[in-house]
Amino acid sequence: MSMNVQGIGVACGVGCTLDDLHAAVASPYRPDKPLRVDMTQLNRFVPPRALRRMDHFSKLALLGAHLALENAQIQNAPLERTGIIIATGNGPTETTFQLLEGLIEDGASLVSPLAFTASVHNIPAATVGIQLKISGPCSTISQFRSSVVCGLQTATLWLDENRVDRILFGCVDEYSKILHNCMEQAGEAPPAQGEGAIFFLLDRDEDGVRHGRIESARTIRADELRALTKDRTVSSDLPIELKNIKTACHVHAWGDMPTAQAFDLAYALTQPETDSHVCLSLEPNGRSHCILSQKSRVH
Amino acid sequence: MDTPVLVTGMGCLSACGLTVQENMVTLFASPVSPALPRRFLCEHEADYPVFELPERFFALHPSRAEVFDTTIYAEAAALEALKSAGYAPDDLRGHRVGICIGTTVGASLNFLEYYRDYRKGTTPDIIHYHRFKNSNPAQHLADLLSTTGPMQTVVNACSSGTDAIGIGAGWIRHGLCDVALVGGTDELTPIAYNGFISLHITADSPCKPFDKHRTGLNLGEGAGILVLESAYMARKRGATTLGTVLGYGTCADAYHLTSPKPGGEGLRKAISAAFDQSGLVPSDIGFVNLHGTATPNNDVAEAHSLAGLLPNALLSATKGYTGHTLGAAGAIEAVFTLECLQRQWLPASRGCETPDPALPVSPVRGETEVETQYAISQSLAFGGNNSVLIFGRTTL
Repeated sequence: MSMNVQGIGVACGVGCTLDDLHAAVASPYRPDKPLRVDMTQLNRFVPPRALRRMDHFSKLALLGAHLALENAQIQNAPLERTGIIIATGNGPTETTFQLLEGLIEDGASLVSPLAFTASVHNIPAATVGIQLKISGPCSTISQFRSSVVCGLQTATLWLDENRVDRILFGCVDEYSKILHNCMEQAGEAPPAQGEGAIFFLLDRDEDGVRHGRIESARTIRADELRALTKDRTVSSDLPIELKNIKTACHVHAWGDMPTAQAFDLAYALTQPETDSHVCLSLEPNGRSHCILSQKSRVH
Repeated sequence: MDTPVLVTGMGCLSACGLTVQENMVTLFASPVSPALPRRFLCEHEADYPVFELPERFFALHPSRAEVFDTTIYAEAAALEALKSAGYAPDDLRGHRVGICIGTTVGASLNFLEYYRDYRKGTTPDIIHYHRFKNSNPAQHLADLLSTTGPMQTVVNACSSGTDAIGIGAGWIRHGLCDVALVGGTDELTPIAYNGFISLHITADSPCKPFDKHRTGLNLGEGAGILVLESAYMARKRGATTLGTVLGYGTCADAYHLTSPKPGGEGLRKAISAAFDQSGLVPSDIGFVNLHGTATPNNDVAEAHSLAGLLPNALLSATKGYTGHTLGAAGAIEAVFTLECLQRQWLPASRGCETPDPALPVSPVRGETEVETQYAISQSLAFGGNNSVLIFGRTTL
């Protein structure tokens, strides 16, 4: 069953609004260095004191969550029966390397408890819950490029099971120089590495749909793509050529990251030209992670 | 009440043994004691013992350069679970098979050696990166078994295993797959070991859940995997049923990053959600497998959440046998819960010798007979996650 997208919060290297996403796609500029997020926007929502001990990854998540609630115009509403799901390809990468730095440099007996805690993958989701006082179900998924589709599947399940009325679904990945080094060594480094957080406020409210609907999120075989993409605009998180399927790729605009597919989804839901869209993330093993969306006609 | 989901196979490895049967023998007859880690050094003034897998596991399943041991643990438990369900791996072809696995280590950048070389300015061995990419447990099992259903690696810290079972059961109920392999897996690493010590919640002696003199947890390692099926699927192939998943509830405290809310409100809400799904009432529950880490904060929150809530339930704490196996804990304890339901016996809550009088409830201290059809297994986690599963003894 489909989910309504009632709010979108975007924080990436090209800016923190949906207009910034569109401008980046329209621009001929092609970044050739990592695109980092300007975090000053977070000061609009959270007092500096609360951010003092927070790592970059959790701050990214918190910024994306606040922006989604602001976009949905429910910043001050009580968030009862609300769940949190975060999808991340790699988790808090930089904090993990800080932890390793301490272990190597200072020794086992001086490991930072703060770095250890922040390196645990579900801490960003918990941080969002604590800061926004959301005490519903809370889950984090980490599975590289399939994370976005997996997260949407759990969101659908929780709504189907009536565990929650709405879900704050976020996709977060941060830039790491060391991980980028690994990717370069492995021949997998993209021209521009990105980072960011993008959150969607999802529900099944029958009274109105702000941005559009996510009709389904699933993983299929490559040979099923043709039927799935028929009569839909198709975009992919990596530049690919598919036989008989015209596919756009915008990842150069905001930089590549495992959860880049979610930025495609936000772009698709807010671009004026198309209604029905498929966002793809294809893996070399033939698995195709697909999100089918339908833009709202009243925007 | 939602449709029950059948458990038709189980696999388990921990310090207690390399199969479900071995684990249960150890729980009831020959418990092992924690010791200093064998695979890395304890570099602290105090000794912090752990529950590692028996050495013979690595003789049977040698470590492989291309994957984490966490993934090898998941493979071993999954193959045992499939075998006990009557499936050969090839039998899964043609069915929609989902895979949902909880972990902490299996999705973490444990690049200690890579990072050491990177800092020195030498070219690190790229095998560390490839190992990380190959080791994501759900993805790895899906590749190994060539499955085509949903797959998901859940990283909710210590409730990951419980959450993976709850999510996988939902997939079966909602028709997303015919069969689901669900559970959790985690290996001991120096990163987790030293990280937990840095938080001052690790004991320098065998852990004592709910005991007046408890000083913290012992880490452990292992994996637990269940095979879940719909009643239709299980009946169609004549599968033996080992139990049922009747309810799942999960709820965050939104209180503190590492400590549970002392009154246990989040856990109560999770229990309530599990009851809503199961259609059962609190008096139906015969026993609870506690999270029971033996940290001062955990045991307080659990005790207060359960006080007066489940009038007929005995409490059981099993981390004195396995240690805290993090992302695997909820799954290993789900296996223990289902086995105890079948046997109608609970093991002694090892380590609880002098129940803490400040806690309103305490677990059974000796082996105890139970007479019940229903039990709870619950997990608390970093981030304030509380997750609860309700299991049934019989098919409905």
